[in-house]
Amino acid sequence: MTVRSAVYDQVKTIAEEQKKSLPPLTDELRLLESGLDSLCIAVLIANLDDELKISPFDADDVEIPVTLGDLVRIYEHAATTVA
Amino acid sequence: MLRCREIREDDVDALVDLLTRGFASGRDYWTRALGRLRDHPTPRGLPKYGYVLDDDGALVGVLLLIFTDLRVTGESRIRCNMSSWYVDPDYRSYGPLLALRAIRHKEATFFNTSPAPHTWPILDKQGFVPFATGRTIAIPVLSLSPRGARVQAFQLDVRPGQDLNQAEIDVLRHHANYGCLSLICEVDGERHPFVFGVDRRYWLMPVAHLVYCRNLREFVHLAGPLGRFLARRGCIVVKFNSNGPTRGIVGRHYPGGPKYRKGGDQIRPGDVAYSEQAMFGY
Repeated sequence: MTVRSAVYDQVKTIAEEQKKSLPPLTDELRLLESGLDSLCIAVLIANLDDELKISPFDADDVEIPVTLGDLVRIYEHAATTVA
Repeated sequence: MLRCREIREDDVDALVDLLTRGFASGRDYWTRALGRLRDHPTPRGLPKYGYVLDDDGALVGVLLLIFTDLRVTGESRIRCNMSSWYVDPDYRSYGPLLALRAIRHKEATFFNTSPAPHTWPILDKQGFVPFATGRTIAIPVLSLSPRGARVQAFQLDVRPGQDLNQAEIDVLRHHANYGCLSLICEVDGERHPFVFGVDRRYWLMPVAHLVYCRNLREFVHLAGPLGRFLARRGCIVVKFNSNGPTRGIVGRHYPGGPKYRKGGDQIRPGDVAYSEQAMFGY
């Protein structure tokens, strides 16, 4: 499973669990307009950290993802750094 | 670019604006609060104020952190009160990232004494657990006094001894400086430290919050003399965090409003020293 598919799958799963309706998922989708609230984001990050075994938001002065594509990129970058 | 970063000294003015926007307290309150953090002996290498969300130079979210090195039987124990967590509505979904940044400091035990209800599930997801499930409202003046017990306000000339160590004296001194009532109850030749914050927001009478005691058993044992000391200063009611009814004291436990902790050490009900309420006031 790629980082990208892990992120997309988690977003869909969490939206379903939290009963949120999502617009079509694209890299350009802005997280603030995705329908995910703060609890969803907390669950998303916690689940991704567990699944991918990396914690990119532990870093100093970390960039905040604005779009779904940013989130994928941040995890991909962290995965590369760990490897 | 939107970033989550540590608060810097030059953020203070903008931070006061953000906090005033986010909470009911006014600018004076937040200016004093940030001044207290500036003067607080934050352990080396840990954030002095906390973290902000910074959107191209505009502060849009904040989580204040109070890191303290408590000496427990000579050992260093870092704990951190998470306070004043606010994110502007347009950025609210990013709130959890602030807490996530804080709890990466694995050496600390984190506690949050006033989490807003909408943050409870987020804290739960981030691994926090309740250390108190409610609070007790007590009337200690109705308790009996052990024979010969005497209560005095903390004085700067107090010296450490076998019954009262330097770390406890530091807690008393710091909290007296914050405006709390730092007290020493002496009985049977031994001194026992207590700190109360006085909340004057209530219309009828001030309420004393138990900020620090060694353990609730000690507070219950000495509730009578402490209650009389507080009553002479207008405080009949004492409030403290609890997990159920407390035997030996006249009072009632009210469930609800859980307080959360995460990390290695327990946070004891009856010890919220160096928390936002104690340091910033009510």
